[in-house]
Amino acid sequence: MEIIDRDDLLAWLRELQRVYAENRDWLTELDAAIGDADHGINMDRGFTAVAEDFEKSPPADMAGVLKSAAMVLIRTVGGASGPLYGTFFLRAAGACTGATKLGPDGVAALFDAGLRGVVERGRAEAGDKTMVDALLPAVAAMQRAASDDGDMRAVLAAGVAAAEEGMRRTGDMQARKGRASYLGERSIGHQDPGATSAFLMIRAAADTWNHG
Amino acid sequence: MVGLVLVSHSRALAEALAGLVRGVTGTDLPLAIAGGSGDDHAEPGTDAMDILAAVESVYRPEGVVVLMDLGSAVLSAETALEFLDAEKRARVRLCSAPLVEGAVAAAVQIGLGSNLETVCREAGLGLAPKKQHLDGPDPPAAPAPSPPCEAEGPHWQEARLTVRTPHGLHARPAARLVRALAGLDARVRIARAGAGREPVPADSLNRIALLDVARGDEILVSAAGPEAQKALAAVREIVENPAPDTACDASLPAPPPAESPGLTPAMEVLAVSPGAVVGPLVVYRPALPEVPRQRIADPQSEWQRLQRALAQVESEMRTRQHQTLQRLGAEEAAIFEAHRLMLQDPTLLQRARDVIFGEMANAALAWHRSVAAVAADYGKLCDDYLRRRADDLLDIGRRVLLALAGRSARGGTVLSTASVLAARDLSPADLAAVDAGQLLGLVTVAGGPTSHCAILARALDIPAVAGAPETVLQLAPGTRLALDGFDGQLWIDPPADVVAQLRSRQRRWQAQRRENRRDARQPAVTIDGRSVAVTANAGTAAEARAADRNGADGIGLMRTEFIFMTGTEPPDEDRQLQALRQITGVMGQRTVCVRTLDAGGDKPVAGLAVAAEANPFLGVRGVRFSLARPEWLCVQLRAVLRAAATGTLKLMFPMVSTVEEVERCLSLLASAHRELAEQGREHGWPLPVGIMVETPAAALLAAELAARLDFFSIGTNDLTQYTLAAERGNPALAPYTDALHPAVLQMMRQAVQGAHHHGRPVSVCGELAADAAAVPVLLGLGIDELSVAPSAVSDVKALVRRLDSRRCRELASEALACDRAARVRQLAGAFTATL
Repeated sequence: MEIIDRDDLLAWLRELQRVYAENRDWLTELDAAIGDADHGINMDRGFTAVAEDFEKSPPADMAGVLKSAAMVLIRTVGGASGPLYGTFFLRAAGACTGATKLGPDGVAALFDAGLRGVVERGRAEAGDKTMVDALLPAVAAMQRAASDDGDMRAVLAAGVAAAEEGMRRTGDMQARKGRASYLGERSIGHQDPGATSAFLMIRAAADTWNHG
Repeated sequence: MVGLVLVSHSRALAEALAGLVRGVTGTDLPLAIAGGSGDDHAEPGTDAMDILAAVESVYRPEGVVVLMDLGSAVLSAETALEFLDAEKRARVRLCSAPLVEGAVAAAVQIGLGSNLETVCREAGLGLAPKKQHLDGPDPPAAPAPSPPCEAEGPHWQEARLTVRTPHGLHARPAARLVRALAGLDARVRIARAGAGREPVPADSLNRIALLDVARGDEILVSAAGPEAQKALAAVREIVENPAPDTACDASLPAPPPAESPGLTPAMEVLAVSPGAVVGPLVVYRPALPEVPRQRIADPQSEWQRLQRALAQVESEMRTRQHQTLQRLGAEEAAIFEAHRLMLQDPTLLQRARDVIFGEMANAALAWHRSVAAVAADYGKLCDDYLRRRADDLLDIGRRVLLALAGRSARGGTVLSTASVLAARDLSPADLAAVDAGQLLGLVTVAGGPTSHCAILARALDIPAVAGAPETVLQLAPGTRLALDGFDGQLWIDPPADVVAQLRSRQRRWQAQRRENRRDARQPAVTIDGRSVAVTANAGTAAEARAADRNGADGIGLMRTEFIFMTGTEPPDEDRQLQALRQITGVMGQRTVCVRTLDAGGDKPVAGLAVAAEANPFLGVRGVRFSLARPEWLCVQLRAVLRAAATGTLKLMFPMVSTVEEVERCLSLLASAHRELAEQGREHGWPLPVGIMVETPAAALLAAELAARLDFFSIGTNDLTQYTLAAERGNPALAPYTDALHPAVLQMMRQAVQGAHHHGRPVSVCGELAADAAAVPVLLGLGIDELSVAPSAVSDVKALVRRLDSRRCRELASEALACDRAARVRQLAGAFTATL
């Protein structure tokens, strides 16, 4: 697949519901070590609501899909990941306003816009042990692959690999944002749940769009 | 006024904090909360859309301050702002202050009318007193900057105006001016032409008044800023137009209280709370505390202490304002508005602030000096009316000193022995602060049966009379007084036979009452097994609690006018919802029948402009008033529907006279329901809808109306006045006010027949429903429910239990055949005597 459209975005978001339901306990376990032990629960609740919302009223275009998801997440997630993922999809929607199709570079731009939203909202930097630590290297790798004229598969594969690497590295980091930062040095040695859910999000995109 | 939004992960915490904040500042704050996540906000978390809705609900051009707890609350609040349009977003501040301390500090500032930046700054300092207390003093911080000096800008526009208000620019026109300009983005200064004095800023009530501008004087007004033009126009409209103030000014040099009846051994007064007592007199006097002299070390916290005291007094005065509005009307209440503005006067505050920071004086001393200085300036003025404003200012100053001393204005009187308390006027707060155990009875000069004080006295079972002569307050303490709260009599040094009589009446009444109360919660069923719902009329949570204590089967008439009496603009949906929930919270599963706003020319409501009418009783009142402002009615309907999600509610419309009105109301209600459903708002639907039958038209069209509705409630006071074409408040028409007039009874019968034809129940919620002679007649007419004052519920229930509905029907048909009210009374009296 060289381009994605509205239906592919819908498929991705529906896949996310399955992914977060499947990984709900894992994410919650990770969060239990350094946070409120609710990340898996929150993400599952949020994306289940997103899928239900699409059942009821499927949006007409790409931006609409992402924006609807954003609004539902903002309303239903409850914890900090609500506004963070909400802003991610809101800005991603902004990046494809009016578009009916996205090529590999469009996909990289979509993730880039979302990442910028997250950084702006959470004021997190690389190394703070947050979802940014997965998203930032992933977006950089996707942009590189796209500018090297890589196809959709190459761009997404680069993103997944970088996100996974970034996610793993959060284990060695000391948290400087959010609830985990209260633990100081004791946060070292635990992988960040936010970075993990961000990795799952990118991997789900690759899985959905590469099998289309 | 700046709006305030409180955001917490916990809905319960946000709600409780809102309560705390309201307690500190009075209820009249544009305040909204957001908290919790999930459909019913039950789970901990935050929801940006919820926050957005809260911001929108209190949004105003002065701006909105948002305070939040931690983590996602911050992120969600920021996210919420993304959805505001740029213009509004620019007027919303997310404030980093700690939630609780910041909320209290912000609310105090908002109450003072401070601007957005000040509210934010002071909220940010909210933690300082606690920090200082627990962690010790910080290195001395520089005092907050003084208000910016009046630098000359390039854009001053000027106007020369001649003042036409009757007393010149005195307190009330000055207050109107300050208020009118407060909403505009302009700096305005005023000078008296030819006085050779500096212009004064128009945000200072006292400084405007001190310009000593008389009628016919010329003033120079200069304004700068984006809305300078508007500001000049506003000033012109106020100072050049004598009309709106004429009426109140003419009456202002208050008539001396000489007309009040002198002291006679037995005096006719107003009965406001039943019971008869004899006891020594204590006169209620708010005492003036000593002003401490000592210096202080921490001017910042002293300054904040003063502001807290000011806010407390302001909220006390606001209460008085509302009471006055109800009792006497908007004109009289306006003077409290002027008093409140005096309290917020920048000049007065700046002087006090200078003394605190400049001389390290304590707050009381600084305030005392500032008030004395400004009052002395008033005293020097030529105008007699203005000179007397010095007294107002000193009185207001005294209240603040009391607040600073840790007492509210009520703290002055302690009852060491059981006494009868006499006061000029007593607010519910004053009364609540008196030791009820030692309070035998209450005598007030002002007030009447419907005052809050009277309602509270009845709820507390304290016998009370009102309308006593002023001279009672000059009697020697300890003078023996006897008061009869049944019939409204007052004796000074009562003779032995009066005392004996009163005591025996009191004993009988108490015994009866105890018995009635014991059975209060049992349903009221007649001897022959017909059950009659006995509900209460209530508009506030306090009244609802009294209703509950007395065993009311529900609230048969919830007046919503109280909700509208706080503030200068109609309450928003959330505030109405909260007020409704306060009542439904007390009543639990029992039904609360909400009446939509019943306002009009004869019943003014704060913040709602009501046009003067030649015949207000025959004018735009009740449902006519609401249908003329459908946008406000819709807000109320939405609030009622949302309250019905958790409470058991019925809804009724007042003063209906046509089928078209009912159709419009029902259609507005249906669209409110659709709107709520579309927005995914939880609400109760459908809910029973009825009308008040108060006009002959409604009674005669009962069958037509009943086909479209679920119930009727007869308002006997209005039905009587409209049937007999006799205005209620007109003393010359007193003989026309008996609701047992056969013509009125015919109207009621017509209403009941129309309703019962469609299987709809009918209640009576006027005063007649608690009239012992009338109750059998009403039951005989087929009335299904009686809604009475909370304190009367148990007595009415006891009466119903002694009745036989078959005999009541016979009585009613005889009554309907009578030719005059007196005959009906006679008949009913004879009937009651046989019970």
